[in-house]
Amino acid sequence: MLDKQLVYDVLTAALSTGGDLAEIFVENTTKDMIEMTNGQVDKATWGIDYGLGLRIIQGTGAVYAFTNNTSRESLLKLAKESAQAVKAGAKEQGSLKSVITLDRSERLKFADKVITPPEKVGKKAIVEQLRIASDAAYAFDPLVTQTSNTYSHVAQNMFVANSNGVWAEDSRVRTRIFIETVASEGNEKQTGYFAPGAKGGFEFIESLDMSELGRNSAKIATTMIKADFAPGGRMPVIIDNGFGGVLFHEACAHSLEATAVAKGASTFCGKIGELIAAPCVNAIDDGTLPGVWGSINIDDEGTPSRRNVLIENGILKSYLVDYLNGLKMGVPSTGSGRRQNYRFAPTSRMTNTYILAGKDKTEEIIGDTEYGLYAAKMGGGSVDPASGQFNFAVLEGYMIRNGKIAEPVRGATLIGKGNDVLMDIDRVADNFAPGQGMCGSISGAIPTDVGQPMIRIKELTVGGRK
Amino acid sequence: MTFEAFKEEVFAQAKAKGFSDYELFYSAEDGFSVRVFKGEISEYKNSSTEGVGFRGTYEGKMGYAYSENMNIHCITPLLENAIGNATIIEDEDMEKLYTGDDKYPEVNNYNPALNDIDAAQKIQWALAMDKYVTDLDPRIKMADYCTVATTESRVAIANSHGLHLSKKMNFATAYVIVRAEENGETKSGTEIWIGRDFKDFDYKAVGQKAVDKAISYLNAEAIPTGEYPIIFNDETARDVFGVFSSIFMAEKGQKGFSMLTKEKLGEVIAASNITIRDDGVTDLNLFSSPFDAEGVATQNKAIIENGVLKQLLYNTKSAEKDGVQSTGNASKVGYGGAIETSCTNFYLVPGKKSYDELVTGLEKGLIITELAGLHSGTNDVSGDFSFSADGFLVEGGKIIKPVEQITIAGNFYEMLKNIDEVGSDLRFVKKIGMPSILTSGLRVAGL
Repeated sequence: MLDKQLVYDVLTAALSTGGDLAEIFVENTTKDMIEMTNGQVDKATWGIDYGLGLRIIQGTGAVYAFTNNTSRESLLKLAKESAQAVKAGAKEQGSLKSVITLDRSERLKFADKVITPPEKVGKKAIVEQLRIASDAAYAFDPLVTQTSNTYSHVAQNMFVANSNGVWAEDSRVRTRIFIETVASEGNEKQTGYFAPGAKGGFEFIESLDMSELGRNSAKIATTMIKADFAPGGRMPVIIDNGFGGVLFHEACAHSLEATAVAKGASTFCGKIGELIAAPCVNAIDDGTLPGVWGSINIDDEGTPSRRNVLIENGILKSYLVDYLNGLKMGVPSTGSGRRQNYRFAPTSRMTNTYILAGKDKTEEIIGDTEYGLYAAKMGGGSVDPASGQFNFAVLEGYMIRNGKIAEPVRGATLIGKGNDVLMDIDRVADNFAPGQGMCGSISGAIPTDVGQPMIRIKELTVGGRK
Repeated sequence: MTFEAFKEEVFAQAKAKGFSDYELFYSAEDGFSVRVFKGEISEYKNSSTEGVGFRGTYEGKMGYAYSENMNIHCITPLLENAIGNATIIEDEDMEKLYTGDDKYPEVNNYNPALNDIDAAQKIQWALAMDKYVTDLDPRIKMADYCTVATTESRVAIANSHGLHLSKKMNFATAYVIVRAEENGETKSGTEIWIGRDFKDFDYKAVGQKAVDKAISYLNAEAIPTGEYPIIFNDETARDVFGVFSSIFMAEKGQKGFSMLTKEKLGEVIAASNITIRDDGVTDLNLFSSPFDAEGVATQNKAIIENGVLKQLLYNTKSAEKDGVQSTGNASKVGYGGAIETSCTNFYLVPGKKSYDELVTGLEKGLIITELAGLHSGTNDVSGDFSFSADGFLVEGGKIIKPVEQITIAGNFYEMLKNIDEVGSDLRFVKKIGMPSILTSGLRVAGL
């Protein structure tokens, strides 16, 4: 995307006041989005995101600059200004790096496999797929009053080079749809949704049963509209597979990111080799899974992605580490340096983060639970990394009474502390499934997979209105 | 290419391709921020970005496309995708380009003196604030986040009806999150300053507030589940009203995503002490502007007056649907976004009682000072919410102890009717201004 001489000159200018490492990240990304509301397309956008981010690392600090003017003049000016900032921030003058190694760079070149590029099928074919889901939702139940269905396709061509000899390119193509249904009764409204996504093109949409997605989202909404409010208080909570993994993602895995660990802001600091979870818990972060939503061939610092075991039989095995935080912690990158786009400096982030399947049967877990909450489908949530305190919405919830799934309940939230919950998981089923999400943190919103089998938490605070 | 040159080329090609009318929206932003961690600069950001958003009418429908690359080669795909997008639009309500107003309000939203503060001074402030908060109290272990930033943005709108407008604005922010630790327990305290003149910035005052918050939250406990009268301080009141401000956008009600529609105008939807205004031209806050994202002049209006719904917020499309005029509330998420609706400076008109008087008057109840799960815990269609909350237990008008690990749940539409008192301490952060409020009828889940 940029010629080698320009890359060399910009990196050289960036290091002219003594930085340790200079890095260029460039992207040219096209984004396509179609939104259908109540069965009618009412919004369609397309655009090009284009720009360059320059990072200079000195010691364990960094200067970051970005622009979408990539002319030689603009980039050299940016590099020189940033180098001045490095000088201003330095406690003592570092030694100048006279040689930067671009020549012995291993050139890594990757690209996602796309079978059917969306421009081949055209926007109208995509609209028809959305309509199938909307029609199915309306046909499911007269209580369905609104549908909202969105298609999103992102093709990011990126390139990263640094003064340590990294030179890597990737072409990342992702497709996702949102199927959302609202049911109404009187003044009350409830929502059900699915948002499957993958790396790839239109073939992913073709692999889905759009009418089933429409029906299932309508089923959640219509079940919840008839439901009474959830009771509040402490009780056993069973979280089912798939997007239920968002609890582990938010409440635990964020605290394993070097962003939190390197500055001592994580409850899991210094706990490698220690028991941090119940022994039935095994968890990984794996960015290498082909075609999976959160996968990356290389991270945004040019390090190839890999499978990182986070927790093995309850014992903490690894953090998720990017280059800069790795310097602070004295450990190498785990291929976890990610960013939303050129506007963000990369930091340690997740890819596909899963609790692995256990041996329990789902019907046994429910059967062994006298009273509690069954969260069939989780909504979103957030966590305070310092305290580990989290909160989540339950999208589709039911009470468990006498070992059976009983009446549906709505408006439930789950709150607790991540380290407590990990220890309180007492059952792990064998029905693993993944779910897709967008994860927001200091380097922006990135696609990640969550995933888990059904798990039971001995006791958790449920927020409800009853 | 420059915006003007790019615009000429786009307009020429758009006409040739058969667009009946067309518009280019340009925005540019220069940003600076410095973040200090443990006495050292941990992040220093400098940016300069720009982009254009195209929209145009093709065979009676509006088509959109945008580009951050203002290279001549991007014009063809830009226009072809705009045509493709126009072709699939099925919404029968036509979006039209605006021809312009005779007069635009004069607003003050740019302070050239902000540019006189150099990077070294901003770094100095960030370093000083970081040191100040950590020296204030031995229980403060560190500032997790300490940053000083400035932003300048420029916007231009030009269309084939002869509309040609431009504006610029700037502002500065300082933000600190401190961490207090005691008896193995950790609590965070956050404070933000947003202004247009560093003369109004006192890093000690900002730091002090963040520290006071974190320290006051230490040794918190949960409380029994039940129904408590609740004081939201200005901060958490802003959180709640900020999340639900979208229900006042007419397009939400038109599509069934809000209970509020033009049929509800004149109805009592809130307690009689509630007056909410959206003021696009005020000097009370920083986000006033002469025109909105469609080029419509901004204005000052009451949304709720003494509990009665007076006005919804409109862009030209939703206004036409309801047979009224736009209220100058069209918005765009930068050049990439479509025309939507948002508030300008949205605020609850303050009452007479100070925050302290509200607390003193509370026999038994809670003050909520921190909320989490604002988006995940919200159903903006039904108005139901359930948030994770921290705060204080009040008995006999006195703060008894800090409270944590509770959730508060209720319904925003019901809450509007259950606001018993409105405080006098109106404060804006970003686009929302709120005083503290006293409410009843919310459910608290704790022990």
